Amino acid sequence: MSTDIDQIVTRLAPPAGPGLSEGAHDLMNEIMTLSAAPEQSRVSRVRAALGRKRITLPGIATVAAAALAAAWFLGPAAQPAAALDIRREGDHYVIEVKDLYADPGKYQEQLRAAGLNISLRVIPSSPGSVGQIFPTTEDGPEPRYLTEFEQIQGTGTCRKVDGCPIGIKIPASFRGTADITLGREARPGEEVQSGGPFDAPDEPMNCVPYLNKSVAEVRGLLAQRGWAINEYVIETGQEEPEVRASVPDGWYVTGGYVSHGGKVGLFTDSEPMPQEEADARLARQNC
Amino acid sequence: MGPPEPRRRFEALYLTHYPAVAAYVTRRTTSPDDAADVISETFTTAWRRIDDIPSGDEARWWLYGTARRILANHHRAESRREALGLRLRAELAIWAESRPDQAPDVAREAFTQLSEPDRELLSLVGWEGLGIAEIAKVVGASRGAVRLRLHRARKRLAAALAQADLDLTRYGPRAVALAKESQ
Repeated sequence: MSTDIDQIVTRLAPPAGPGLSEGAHDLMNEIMTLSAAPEQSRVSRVRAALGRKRITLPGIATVAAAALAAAWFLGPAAQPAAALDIRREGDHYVIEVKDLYADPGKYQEQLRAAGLNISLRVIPSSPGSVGQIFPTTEDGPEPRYLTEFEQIQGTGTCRKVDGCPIGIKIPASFRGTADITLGREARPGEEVQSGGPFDAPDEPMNCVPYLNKSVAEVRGLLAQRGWAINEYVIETGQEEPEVRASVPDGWYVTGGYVSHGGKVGLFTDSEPMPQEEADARLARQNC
Repeated sequence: MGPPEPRRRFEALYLTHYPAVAAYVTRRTTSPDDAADVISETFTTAWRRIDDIPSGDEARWWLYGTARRILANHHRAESRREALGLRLRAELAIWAESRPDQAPDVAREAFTQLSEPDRELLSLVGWEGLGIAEIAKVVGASRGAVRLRLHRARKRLAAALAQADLDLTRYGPRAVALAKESQ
């Protein structure tokens, strides 16, 4: 099981290289031809003398453990997605999302017609992650984030860490397989697969001064905006924080995130955080 | 009659593990020449010591560990250019030219500023998908030591991200907890 931090690192993975190329095959033969023959180790000489059966050949390496790539973003949902505009611009295809709620069959056909072996999936997201694009591939030894797919940023100001993409540019020479996820609004009660802090831009508590308020007060602030509390997270000092179904109403709220459509999780503490820290965090939102 | 046993074993080893080993090396080198050298030296070592290499997935940890040592030496001293792998060198050069630059962002900046040992542990998890037991084999340390060092590395990255004003709740409760713990 990967951690949130590990997923950040996974996203930063440099490209893996061209794989088992002709040059790689050449190198294999060169090594066996030009390099000194294998040293027979003492152990293997003893083994040979004992007539011990050879070790079996290595099987194909499994990549199951590497499936952590972007697990935060990927999930089983495969809901109808957007209609696309695909056009060729020089050595790239430019793909723009025209309608987030259109029948996915259409653009899947369009992608195939363009010779792109790409699947598009729409995943339930928090309001601020709606429209976010996350391309990955499982070609190669491990799944990885496709840095060669350039995201097209919308015009106007964007305050999000990951940008505000409106489309994606795919090299026309791309012949691999890819899986692109696209955030859509989660339906009521549906678990969010891509989300952020609930005070980030476009999220329910953006620019709402809730820090250091009691759980009861924040419950009211959320209710005014049509949101309910699903769970409470408590810092325990352990590696894994504890998630509870309830905490005392008088506890303090130190943060939160959208967990489901219409529902949030709250970070809570029995003690308030320093007021300067709370003020600084609100100021950082540039409201 | 097929080829002699060591050749058969080496071919199977190479064809199975080359993509993972080449990716491991390519991600940790800046020039295609360096990448070709380290890949070539790693598999030349594997050929010479084919009888010592464990079977199955263990072979991959062995190869990662070997590549890791060669990389460390390579970084210390500009090593001689290998005569092997000329075609591979050319391919990697072409590939490197076509590779898009990685966009700078807050998380990348924070990761880059970590110490080399921290980055190594985090990337073995995040890039190669290894667990504690596998990392212990690659770096030649006990599982307990790896677990502790990895925990500290995660904490330091979380702290660096928090300092860079990146709101960690975006990445879930775990990241927040780690950042707070390290303050």
